[in-house]
Amino acid sequence: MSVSLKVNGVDHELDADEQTPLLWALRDVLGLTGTKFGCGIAACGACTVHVDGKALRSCVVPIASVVGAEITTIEGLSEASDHPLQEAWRSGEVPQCGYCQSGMLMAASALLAKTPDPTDQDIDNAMTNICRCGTYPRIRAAIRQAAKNA
Amino acid sequence: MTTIETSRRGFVKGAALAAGSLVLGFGLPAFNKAAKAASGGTLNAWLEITGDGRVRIAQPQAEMGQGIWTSMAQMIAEELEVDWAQVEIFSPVAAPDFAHPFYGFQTTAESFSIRAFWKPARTVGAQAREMLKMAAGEIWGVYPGGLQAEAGHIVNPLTGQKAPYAALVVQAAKYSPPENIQLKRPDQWKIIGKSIARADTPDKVNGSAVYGIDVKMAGLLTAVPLFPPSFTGKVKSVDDSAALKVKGVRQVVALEDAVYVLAEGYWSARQGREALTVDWDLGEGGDFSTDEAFAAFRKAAAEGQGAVVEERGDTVTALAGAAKVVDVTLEAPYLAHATMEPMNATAHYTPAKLTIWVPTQAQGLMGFVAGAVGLEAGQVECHTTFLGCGLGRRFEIDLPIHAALVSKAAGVPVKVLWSREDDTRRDFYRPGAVARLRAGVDSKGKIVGMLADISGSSILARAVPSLAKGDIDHTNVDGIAEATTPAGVPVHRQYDFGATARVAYAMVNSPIPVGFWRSVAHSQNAWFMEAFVNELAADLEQDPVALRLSLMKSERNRTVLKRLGERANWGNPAAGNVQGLAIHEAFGTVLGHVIEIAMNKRTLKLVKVTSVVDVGWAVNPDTVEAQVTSGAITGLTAALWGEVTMTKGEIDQGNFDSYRMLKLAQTPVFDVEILQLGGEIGGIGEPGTPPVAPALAHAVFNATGERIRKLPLAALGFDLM
Repeated sequence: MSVSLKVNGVDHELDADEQTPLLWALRDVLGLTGTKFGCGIAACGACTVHVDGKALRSCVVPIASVVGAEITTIEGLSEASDHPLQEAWRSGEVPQCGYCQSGMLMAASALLAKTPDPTDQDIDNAMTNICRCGTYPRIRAAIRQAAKNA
Repeated sequence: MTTIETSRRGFVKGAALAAGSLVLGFGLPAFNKAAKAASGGTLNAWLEITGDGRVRIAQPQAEMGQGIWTSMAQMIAEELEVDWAQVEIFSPVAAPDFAHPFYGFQTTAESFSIRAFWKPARTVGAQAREMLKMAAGEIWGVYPGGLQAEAGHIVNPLTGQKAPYAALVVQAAKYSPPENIQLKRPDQWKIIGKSIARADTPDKVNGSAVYGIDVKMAGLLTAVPLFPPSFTGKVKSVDDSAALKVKGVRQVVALEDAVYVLAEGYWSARQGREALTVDWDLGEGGDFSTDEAFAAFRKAAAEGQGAVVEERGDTVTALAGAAKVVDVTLEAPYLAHATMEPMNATAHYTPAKLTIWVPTQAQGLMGFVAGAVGLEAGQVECHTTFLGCGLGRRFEIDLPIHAALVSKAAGVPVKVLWSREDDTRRDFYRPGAVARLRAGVDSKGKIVGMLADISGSSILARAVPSLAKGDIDHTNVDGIAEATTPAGVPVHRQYDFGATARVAYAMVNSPIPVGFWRSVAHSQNAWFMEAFVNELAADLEQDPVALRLSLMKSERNRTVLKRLGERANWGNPAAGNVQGLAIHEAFGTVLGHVIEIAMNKRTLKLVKVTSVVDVGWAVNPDTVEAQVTSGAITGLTAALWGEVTMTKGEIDQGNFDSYRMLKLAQTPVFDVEILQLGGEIGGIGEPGTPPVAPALAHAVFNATGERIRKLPLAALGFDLM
């Protein structure tokens, strides 16, 4: 079964079952390992990507459902790791183990694209991913910083 | 503490020694050309200076978020005298050169990297600097003692001659490292003590950082397990006919205690696993439950059945004669690690060599992995990736062993990858435990003694039995007893409860595997001791800070506590809020939290955590702040929801829907003050966790009047706003 996916602006033909979750198509077929596996039930958000600009948890999205959509992963968030959020994440030293941070950045970038100057409540509502290291206070600060710089 | 002797064999002669032979091949450069011939080279296992002047520092400790990549390199670079911009850090192939100075094998555990390498790492840098001076002295024909090291160059201040390290390293590598070097004084530090930007951050914000789960190579298959329902279960028979028909599935490998489906990619392997039919032998203990474990712990603690760890004076008589006895029994549940990165390991077995790529805290134990597939300890080559959290779970070598066994059976390189449910259900849990603590008070209100009866499962009886000598495991009593265990391990309590003290531990092991969880002993023992002291204060109608100041043995602890009280405005929370307090000493560090909450019936809102910590010296203050916060959030998650239960041999929790985690919206504001009192340097990866549970329970008590003696709070009907 061949499935067409457009990821980070590039078209791919995948030889994969159409029920395959997008997460595993990205990681195991396309080699885009920046998107992480954390739970497999859309509970943690480590696998968050953009589908037509919206943050989705790719571990429960069958690839058949995103044919024709613009899919963006952490690798495609910016040309040179210079998205305002990436800048703010670096200057604020947000990551610890770093494993959840791709998903956090994709969730935060979808938030800022829609709500350039989010309130604390907006941040609370959008940032529901799990970070086991507890980088939450720095994530909040970095989103505010990026909103200010943008 | 004794080291694990057998593990010393678990090393490979890897890249470091191979590179050393390359250095010999360079030969001695002609003296007059040396300054131009900046060919670079390897100085020793730790250091390579490249031709273009980059300083490559091997960083052997597991980077699991604690920032050790950067802080370890800061210590070396400080003495080496290089510009931080020249520094590159890499994860070396495991090697004997990188043995932990205390444990004797390469490992990252017990918040013990900075502490153990504090002198050795700086010495590595200082020796390299002196060897580079010796090289320049020989090349220039001058006495090296008169030369200076500055920003990656050796300079002759008399002649103005200057040579980059890259031009000197080949010659320098020929000398034996000089001994008895005077290390720099704190007032001379330029890199230590600075919040240097973390070296691993850039790769962690663009998806390029490589974790164990990301390892790629030609022909690699992903292996997904099916486990027996119970820990004691074994494979009886396997029907893999349907699994092998799933697209992408290549093989099925049955181990003794798991069946792995191997496929091109995780999803196919998962589909294959769903199609497996396995008949299990559940084994003895296949119907065990946590209720049985706790019934045994409670009985042993109530009856004082334990082996005596500390006995000072006649505590029993002192308490019998006391005007009042405060008698509190506290319980701590089993906890899972739930590292963010699901458990995994990649192995490629050949008859000559086992190569593994693994997010591990225990490279030095990989000799055991080689042994599991019939190879010698020296035949394993271990590559360490980034760790998506460690939390102690990644000290265990069950994953690398499975990967090696499956690779050997399948004849191909294999990445073993567990699901979240597999991780929660096949963990080595923070031991459940029960502690009965008593203190006697005379008619004048003076405390006359403390009696502690602790019961719970022993980690070391499984992991390092020689350290559980006399049925006393220090990880069950550290923080509560002041003693040296029969195995020779010192344990410490920050308080002196008057003239008598008695601490006993009743070891009760069960089929529930227990292991090292962030802060190990202290995760439950600080809860027991600090909750007890808060109850003591309430019963004696004393201020919890004042009572502690009167009981603390050390001025250092009093200094931290006083500062905490001031910083948190103890006793004067914001309107509508209540506070709770706890302080603990562990891993060479003293750390206290005041937690401020707002309470509405049984719903609470976490408002603010104020923390004061003394680490002696902070190598990277920003990292210290991050670790205090991180440790506290681990503690909050555990105190609110953390509980693993077993019913008839099966773990009841699975994914994050049944094993909850704190999220951003629920996270309080943090305020951390780092004291650097300048004594011995302390660890920081774990001390933030232990005081959280007692401080939070104290706040809930202050809000409700309800004595909190059991965790998690959710099991008592409390929840977060």
